[in-house]
Formats: sequence, C-alpha cells, structure tokens
Amino acid sequence: MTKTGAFSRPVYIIAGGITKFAKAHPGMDFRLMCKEAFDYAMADVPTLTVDMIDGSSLSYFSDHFTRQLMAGIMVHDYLGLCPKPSRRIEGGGATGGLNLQNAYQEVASGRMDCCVAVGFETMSRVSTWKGNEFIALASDTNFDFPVGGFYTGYYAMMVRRHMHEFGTTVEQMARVSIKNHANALHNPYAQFPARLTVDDVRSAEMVATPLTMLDICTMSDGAACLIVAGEEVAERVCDHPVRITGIGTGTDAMRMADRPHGDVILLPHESAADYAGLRYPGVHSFRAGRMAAKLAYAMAGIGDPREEIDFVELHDAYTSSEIQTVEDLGLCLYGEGGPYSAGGATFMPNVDYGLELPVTPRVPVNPSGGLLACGHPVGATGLMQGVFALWQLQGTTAKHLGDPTLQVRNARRGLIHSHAGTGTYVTVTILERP
Amino acid sequence: MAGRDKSRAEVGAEGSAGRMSRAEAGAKSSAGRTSRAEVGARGSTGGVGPGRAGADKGGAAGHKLPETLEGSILYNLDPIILKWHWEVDYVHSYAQDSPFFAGLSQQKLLGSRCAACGYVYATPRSHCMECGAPTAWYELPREGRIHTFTTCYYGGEAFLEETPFTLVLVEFDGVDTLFLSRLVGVEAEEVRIGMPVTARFLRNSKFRATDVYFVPAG
Repeated sequence: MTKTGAFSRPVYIIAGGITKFAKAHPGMDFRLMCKEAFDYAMADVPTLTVDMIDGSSLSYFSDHFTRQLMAGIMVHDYLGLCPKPSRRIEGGGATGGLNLQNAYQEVASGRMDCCVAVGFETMSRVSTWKGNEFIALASDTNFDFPVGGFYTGYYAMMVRRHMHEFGTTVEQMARVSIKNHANALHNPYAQFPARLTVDDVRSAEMVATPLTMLDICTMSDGAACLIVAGEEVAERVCDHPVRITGIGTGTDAMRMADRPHGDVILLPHESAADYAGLRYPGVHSFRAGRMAAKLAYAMAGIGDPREEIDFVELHDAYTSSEIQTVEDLGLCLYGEGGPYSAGGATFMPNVDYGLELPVTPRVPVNPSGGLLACGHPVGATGLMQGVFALWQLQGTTAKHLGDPTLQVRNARRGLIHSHAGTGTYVTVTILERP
Repeated sequence: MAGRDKSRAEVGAEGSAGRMSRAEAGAKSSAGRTSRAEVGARGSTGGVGPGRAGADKGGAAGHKLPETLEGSILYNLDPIILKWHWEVDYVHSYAQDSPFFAGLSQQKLLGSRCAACGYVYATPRSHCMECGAPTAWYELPREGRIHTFTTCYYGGEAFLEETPFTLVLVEFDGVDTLFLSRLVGVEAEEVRIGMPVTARFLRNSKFRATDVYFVPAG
C-alpha cells in the first residue's frame, strides 16, 4: 500500500543558500562553508531569527574525506544552534536528498516548526585517485572493492548494458554533457561551465569505456543549506515559500551483481504491455529511482509526470545516469532515455547548445548544470538541487544567479532527485509553488 | 590436497599472528605510558618530573619540551596547508563469507542457493534476499557469459598500477544473479556482451576476490 503522508503537516522550504562549488576551498573549512551557505539563506528571510530555528539536520558523506568524526555537531555549534536538536544524515551520493527529507520529517511530524538542513563535502583533501578509492569503499569490500575499486567502472558496466538492451549511444550521452555544461555557463555557482561539442566529449580522455572525462562529474568542495518550516513560520517570514508536496525514497542491493531480473515497477501512466520481455532492473536501470518516483508521485498526486512536472534537477554524476534516470522518473518509457535525452525535450529553450534539436524543449532537466557542471560535493549536492529548485519556483533565479537565462518560465512544480552508489538509495522530492 | 593443507597452514599462521598482535597492542599501550614518562624525564633534563626540573633550574624557564628534527610538509602559508599522514591495518574477517574464499584456493567458485525458494546467487550471501531463509553453498559452473563489461584506464589509487584492466559481470546458466570479476587474455575492443568465458584461479591464493578471474572460453 502506498503511503500518502496524509497525516503530516504542510511543510515549506523558505530559503536556501550555497557556496560556489570548487575544486578546493582552502580558505574555508567545512564549518565556514556551511556558515556561508546558512548566512545566505538567512539573509533571504531577514525576519527569521536564529532563535526561531528549532534544530538542524546535517549531512556529509565521507568520514574519510572529512578526517573529522562528528563534523555534524561542529557545524551545528558553529551556526550557534546548540543546545537544540540535531542529527547527521548519511547515505552515499543521496546524502543531501536524504537530509532534506529528514528535515521535512522533522517539521511534518510537528517535532520542529523550523529546521535547517545543511550539507557539505570537502573532497580536495586527498588526490583525485585516492578520492576515487574512498568512494569505492561504498561498494562491497569483500567482493567488489578488491576487484573493481572504481565507481566509474561500475557505472560504465551499467550503461554498457543499457546500450545493449536499448541501443543507447555515446553520442546521446555526449549531448547530455553538452547540455549541462552549457546551462552552467549561466550559473555562477557552477564549478565547470563549458561550451562543448560531441567531439570534445568523445575525444576526452577515456576513463572506463565508454565513459570519458567529460561524461563524469568532478570532485568538489562546497556546502548548501535549505531552511524548512511549517505553515505558520513560512507565512510569517517568507513572501514566496515553496511547498514540499511529495517525498519518495527507494533502495536496491549494494552489489550490482545481486540486482534482480524481474518486472518493471509501473507508474500510473504506464502499463505492463509497455515492457513485454524486459527483464528489470538488471544492471541497466535503477529500481530505487523508480520506487522513489512512484512514492513521491503518489504523495503529490501526480498521475502523468510527462505532463505535470515543469523541470527536474537530477543526479547526473554520469551522463549515462541522466539517461537512465529520466526513464526511472517516467519522463519517457524505459528504453527511450537515449533519444529522449538527446532530442531536445530536456534542454532549455533559450540556451545556445550548438546542436540541432529536433524536439522542442518541454521539461528542462538540470537547468542548473547538474552535477556534471556544478560539481558534486556529495553531502551538499542533494541540497544544492533543492536550492536551485526553490529559486526556480520562487521565480528568483535571475536575482540569485545574476542572470535570467536559466529561469524556467511559469515553473509551478519541480522535481529533485538524489542518488547513491549504483542506485542503492535514491530520493525524489516534489516541490510546488502554492 | 597440498594446496588445501597450505592454505590451512597460512590461515593458522595468520590466526596466531592475530593473537600476537593483540599482545603487541597490550605492549603498545604500556609503551604509551612509558613514552609519556620519557617526555617528562627529558623535559626535566634528568629529573623525575617538572617539579624537580623547576627546582633544579629555578623558575618557569626550566619547563621545556624536547626539540626534535621532525617537521611538517607545508604546501602553503596563507591559509596554512600541510600534509597529514594516516594509515591503518584492519583485522578483516570474511566471517560467513569465508567458505567462498577458501573455495577459491581449491579452484572452486562457490555461490549460494536458497533452500526455501530455490533462488541461486552467483555472488554468495548466507541468507536469501528474496525470502530471508538461510542459503546453502552451491558450486557454480566454470563457464559463463559476459553480461556487461568495461575497460578501466583509471581507478582508485590502490588499483592505478593495475590499469588498464577489464571488469566483467558474468552470468551463468541456471543462476539468478551475476558475479563481478576481471577478464584477461582479450583486447579491450574485442570484448562483447554474450562472450563465453571460463573461470581461472590463482595458483597461490591470496584469499581475495581477485583469486578468480575469467578468460575467453575455448
């Protein structure tokens, strides 16, 4: 049975802030980065005072990167929130998304009227390849880490199977890279904005076939913050609160090898006949992403996501992940992710990509530039998506980015999607302008 | 079997090494106390404590930590960025997965089969993910097919020296799940999904998942 959250209180996001995502922020430690993001958010709701905040929800992925256990409390005390309640949330790449959902629950349950969700990662403290080794520890250390020891290798195997099942091409993947890097040219918070061609992406250094350096997001330092509140606080301090109308979380087995080959979990607008003969999820699709979408749609009352969502910020750690994820979210059928992502439906109408796009933009995916171009400071990433989505729904993108290009016109409902290691934890959160 | 005996001997040796290291840990903690005592001793230039040092030398100037030639590797001054080394040896138990690794040393690839629902796992797990019942060990066929693959030109730092290497997920007839391994003996561009492959084993086991690898069949 699907839970609808019918007994919970309405929950709003009232402000957000982020640091610039960068290869390194040597002048700020994690506490100061979080403070910067927090102060930005607080400045956006000037009548909200710290004494009106009931507690915090802190997220960072890796103790190895941080080399500081209990960094969460250090952020909480740095923000002046002691002795109020706080807890740390961790779930791999989905850490930020899980953090926002935890803050939602704090408010929805009535435990808090106002909760700050803050997340960060400091990945510059080790070499890129040591960093990759740390990240690979988020795979089974008996069976997977000693053999592969490399996340890009895992995703490369997944997309290779996607290509085999559905005919997805590396050119389609390259177009995702072009789109997200070009969008980021208008986002000053992004780490790696760039104007690229298909040839640039394909001729970049090969990392794990078929993924090149430009199919993969970078490691980053950064922090992000969202202030989550109940109706009374939201109405009192915020002119344009955005409501969280649906949350969904899905999971799958840590070892890719253990993923089942069964039937597709159907969304309301799909039928079993759409997927005759497809063995699901295998390693080509993310069952956790589909489950998260199904739960979030049920709670938000979304019957057909193709028609009822205005934009999406999703976890494109790899170009291939974006193609796989638009299928999980039901923006197109399983198997159509490649042509759907390359054709134009997910592009911004007013950005020059240097590409022929046969399809009119319809549901912009990663208007911010996504992880590919913004960077991926893991514990902050899911919150970063929330910040950009908040500004889209408030219509304040131009104000916060200093550039109106990325504002999605008449954005009423947005979807944010956070994803952990090969699809083990995935969150989908639906945000709406009331 | 000789191989079997050897592996047992090694496990035994490792086990006693484990006991030794616990003894060492005890020694180390008492060494910790000693070194604190030493600091005190050195600081007091031959006395037994800071109090005495003060008495000998007269005044607070006598309190002094020893100077050493150790320094720090500094990358930057503003802000100060320095090198911070950290390493650790873990005492890792394969616990209920141990028979799989013992099997590799006997040239056997062991998966597991659920006694209750019949689900067969290529990568073993001692309880069934489908129904929760205990599983039994199940010897996999040596021959399988490539379900998917990639050739890695980079990797985690521990594996960089081994690049490029090819990873495969192997599927087996009659088995419900897959097995992650490395493929050798074929050029990267010649690897194909569906290609038949055969398991090979290291002659001298390291008791790691890489004790088994795959080569093209035939």
